[in-house]
Amino acid sequence: MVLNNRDWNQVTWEQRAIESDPKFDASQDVPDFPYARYAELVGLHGIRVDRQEQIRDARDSALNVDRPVVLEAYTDPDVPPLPPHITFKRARAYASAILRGDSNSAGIIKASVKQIFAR
Amino acid sequence: MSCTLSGNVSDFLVRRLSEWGVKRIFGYPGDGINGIMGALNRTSRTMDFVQVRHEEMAAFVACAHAKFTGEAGVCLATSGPGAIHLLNGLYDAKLDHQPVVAIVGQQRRAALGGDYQQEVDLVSLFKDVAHEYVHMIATPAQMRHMVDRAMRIAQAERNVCCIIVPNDIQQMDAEEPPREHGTIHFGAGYQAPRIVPRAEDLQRAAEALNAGKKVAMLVGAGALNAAAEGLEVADLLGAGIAKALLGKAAIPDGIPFVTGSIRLLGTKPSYDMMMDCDTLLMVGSSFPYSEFLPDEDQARGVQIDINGRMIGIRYPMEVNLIGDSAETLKLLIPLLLRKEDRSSRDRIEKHVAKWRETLRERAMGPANPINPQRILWEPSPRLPDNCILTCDSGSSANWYARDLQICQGMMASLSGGLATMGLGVLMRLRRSSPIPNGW
Repeated sequence: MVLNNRDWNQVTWEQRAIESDPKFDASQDVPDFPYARYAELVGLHGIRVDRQEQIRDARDSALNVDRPVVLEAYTDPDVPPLPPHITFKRARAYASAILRGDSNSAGIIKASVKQIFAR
Repeated sequence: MSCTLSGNVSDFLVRRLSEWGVKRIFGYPGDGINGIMGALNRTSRTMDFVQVRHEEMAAFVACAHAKFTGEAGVCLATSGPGAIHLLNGLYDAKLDHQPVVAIVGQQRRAALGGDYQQEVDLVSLFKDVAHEYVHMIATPAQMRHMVDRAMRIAQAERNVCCIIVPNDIQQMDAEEPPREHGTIHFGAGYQAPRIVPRAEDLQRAAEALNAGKKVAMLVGAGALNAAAEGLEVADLLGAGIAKALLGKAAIPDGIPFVTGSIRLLGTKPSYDMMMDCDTLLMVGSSFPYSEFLPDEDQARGVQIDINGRMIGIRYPMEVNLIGDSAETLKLLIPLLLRKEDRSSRDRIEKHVAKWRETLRERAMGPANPINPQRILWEPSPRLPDNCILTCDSGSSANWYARDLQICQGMMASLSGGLATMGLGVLMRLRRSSPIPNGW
């Protein structure tokens, strides 16, 4: 399974949450790459999902193929890997990163609100 | 007089590894090891050579072989640049305490020290990662004890060992050491001992655990074969069980008092349990992050670890038990009193049930376009019970840690201590897999 989020995602979140810096696009952007099509090219089975409703069918067909499968999910880089508890220090770092001009700030705010609200 | 054996030094090397039970070597060719390649070609019916695409992969896969089979993993690389490429994978083995033996080529002896092409000081290069045993063979009669020591030390110390074989020696006639002053005569084979603590230390551990009202357990890779014992102890103690990342498959999820992973990528029930406990029982884990463990004065600690070096280094434990996880827990069980007060257990179970709902809501929530939690959460219940799960390092490890639910019979691992990148797929490499085009 490849989570294609076009981002060095964990380190991007660390830049925001630990360093209080916005995402550094030059270091963090990863070129979009057709992982599922590449899998087909080299003789594996490739499946790409870019709508959530496709996940169930993709899962079922991936488990029923006679060869290795690459399941490429076109994932959202703005879904935050929330820690189990949010400390004040971390929340402040996070907010300051977004305020200081993160290229993904709109998406992050939207995704974070949804994630935190789910608790 | 030396006794000549059949075949050359490389034939002997492969034969001796077979005597040690090695059936598979992961490697990548090069002119610095063509002597060994010749021997592997001649013994291809008994020794499987698995060709990878880069020496780093050979070391990663040898380490994964050790993680999933419990056997020592063996990798092979050529001199100079090939040897250098092994390092990252070997450090994965070192930091996760896996037995791996690296065999590397070297330039001919006559050229060493002469600033020769591809000449690298390999003993120095491997001195840190293979500090328990790294040696360069200087004469054919050494091969027997060098293989024996590397294989034995790797398994006994659960560490990386390295044998360096100059190119010209690979093709020399194999020799047994003559029985005379200055030679040594080794025998092959290693059987892991049964290591258990002393009775009085078990008693002290039981007293601490029996006195606790809110017991938290943390299990790691060292508890991968101790699921039944771990669950029985948790049941007696009314404890919850949190799992370090390498111990994800130690205890199945879906049990009401299993709180799941711990640390930044962990769960809220694990965090709450640790912050609230009065007793900590740590089994087979070197989980390093103190901020996710209780405060120093908060809990009485009992630790079980097979490795005496790893005891008491994460939390100031009151009782340190050096022993095999399952065997030690088995000896503890008759000493433990079943806690009649189940209020702590009930609280943990409530937190776990609530967290599962949170996980589901977070995973099924909208995203642009795919929610990375959902792509693991939704397939998770359909995974075969005997599957092997691996994961790379990165944000995907968050979702692996939280959203994949382990069932009994599954195996799961990744790069724990080193958290290196690029090995998720490689860990699943198996020549026996029906993989087309030689993948």
